[in-house]
Amino acid sequence: MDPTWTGIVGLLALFVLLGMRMPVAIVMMLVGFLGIAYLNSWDAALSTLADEAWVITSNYEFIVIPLFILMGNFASISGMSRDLYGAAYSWFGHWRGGLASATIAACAGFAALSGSSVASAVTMGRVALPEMKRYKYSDRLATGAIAAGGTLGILIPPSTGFIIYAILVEESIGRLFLAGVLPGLMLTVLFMISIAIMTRINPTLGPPGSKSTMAERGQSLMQAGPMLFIVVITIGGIYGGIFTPTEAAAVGAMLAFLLALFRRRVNTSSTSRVLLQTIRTTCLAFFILIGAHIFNPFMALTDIPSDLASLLLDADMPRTAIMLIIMLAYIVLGTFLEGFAMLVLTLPIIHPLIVELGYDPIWFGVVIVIVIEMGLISPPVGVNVFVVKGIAEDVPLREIFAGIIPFWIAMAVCLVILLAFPEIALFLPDTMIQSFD
Amino acid sequence: MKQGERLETERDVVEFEGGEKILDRSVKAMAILAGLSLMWLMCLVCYAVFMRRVLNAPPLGGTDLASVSLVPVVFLGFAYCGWTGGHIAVDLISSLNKPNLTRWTDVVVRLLSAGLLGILTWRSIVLLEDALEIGEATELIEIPHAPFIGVMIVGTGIFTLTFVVMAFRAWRGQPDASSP
Repeated sequence: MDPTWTGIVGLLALFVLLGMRMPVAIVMMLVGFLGIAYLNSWDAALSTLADEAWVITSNYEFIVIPLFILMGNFASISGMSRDLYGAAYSWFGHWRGGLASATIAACAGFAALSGSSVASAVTMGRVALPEMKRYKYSDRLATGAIAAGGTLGILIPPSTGFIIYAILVEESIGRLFLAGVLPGLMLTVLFMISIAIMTRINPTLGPPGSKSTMAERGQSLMQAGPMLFIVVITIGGIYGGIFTPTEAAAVGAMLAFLLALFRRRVNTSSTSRVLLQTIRTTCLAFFILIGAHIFNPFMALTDIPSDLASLLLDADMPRTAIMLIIMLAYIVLGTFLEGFAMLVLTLPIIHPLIVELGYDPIWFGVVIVIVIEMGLISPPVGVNVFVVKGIAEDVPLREIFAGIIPFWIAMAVCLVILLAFPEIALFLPDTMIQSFD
Repeated sequence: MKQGERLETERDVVEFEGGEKILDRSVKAMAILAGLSLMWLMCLVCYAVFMRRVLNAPPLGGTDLASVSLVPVVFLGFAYCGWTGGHIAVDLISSLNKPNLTRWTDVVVRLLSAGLLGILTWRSIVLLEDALEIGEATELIEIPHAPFIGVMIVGTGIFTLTFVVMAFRAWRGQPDASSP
């Protein structure tokens, strides 16, 4: 069998094993291992297995993954989510649909501490949903805002999605983080505009809350101050070249821990919960990375990525059309594949094509993360929707899915804007000060 | 679709007996150790930042020490992640609503996984032998790799064992630690 056919058989085996519920990381390891053994040698396959596992888990650059996860989990127990919501509420709560807008703004703020969409949706959902129920918000708008707001967790840095992407395509984590800032803020505004349009058409969806005085607003901002301080130190530190992403993650995690300690939220039970949760997510990410680093050399041996690139380039299509096809394919994949899995399975094939087309891989990283976000709220899987369902048990799933449609459209608009103006994503990374160890 | 980021607090309580109980406790103890290693790692990097940025005296070999400290964080946690259903899987066949089919595919998939992880454990032992023979160590302060490869062997070994036990549980129709 020639390398291309071996690759096709490997991909078929991969899909069969995935369909049998084998963990994605193990599928990639198994197919990659057997593929390398067939195309190269058993010795090469056997040494790749342990060597890659060792190299990945003893790499200083990858320490950033557990430390940012730890920071987000300490932020969760420190009560910062309530402060953030309080601040956003005091500024936007009196608008029509203002509580939903406050939820989106608070989610964006929490996203700057946590790299996980699920964590953002759970944490903010528990705070915001009872408030929106109290003001008789429609279930559709309330749950839709939480599910969509939660997705900002992987776009606004620190983001586990960006870290995984950066490692897989060997790009700078710091540049990717900064590339996510402006699109993240733009998407936050687009979500808020969607809420404004919805409540203008039907004001009963989200009645205005009570108006806060300037003194109350000032006080709420003071309460959210520690969170803002941590964000400025970590993300500002990366931008200013003061910290490497790994250092920023360690300092951020330490500050979040100290804040939780100061607020007396740290005890044996909460610390144990935070550590176990952090280790669980960390191991999930590392296991997938090891799988990807065994699968990727196999894909490279098969010639499939270069064959696909040649096929599309020879088709004489405009590169924007090719990019639209890629985005569409990712949106469809995102409806049934988990985001991490989608990244690691497709990047070995798609990344060379993106480079060949002349697109900036940093820009593409932002685009792909937004597409993953769309998957997080798309039926039938829509992980964030199920997370919100877990909090709002009395709301039917179809209501939540109906509620996310306007936000999904806002994401599509965001993608179109980014396609037309890539500078929005690339401005901050192009002006950042590089940090050297 | 199994959700990889299910919160620890949402973990369902499944009672284990005998050897499985010991495995359950060991896996959790290892994960706690991994978490403590991460706290140490956090302190270490913060200390290095303080020394470098404030005192302009970067600690020699801080990067070396941090690099090898990541090994226990990951390998001591793998088994816990797998045992509690943390690894991402795509669930297409359970929607067919044929529990018997799911049960047998689970047994096959878990034994295959255990086989592959068994090979990884064996290769890690070979890696350890090589490291001892050559005296592999980090670049700056020459921390030997061997003890950390030892942690890798223990981690992958226990991870393999969890898949074997989970295959038996699937065969007997018993729920996993993470099953509803």
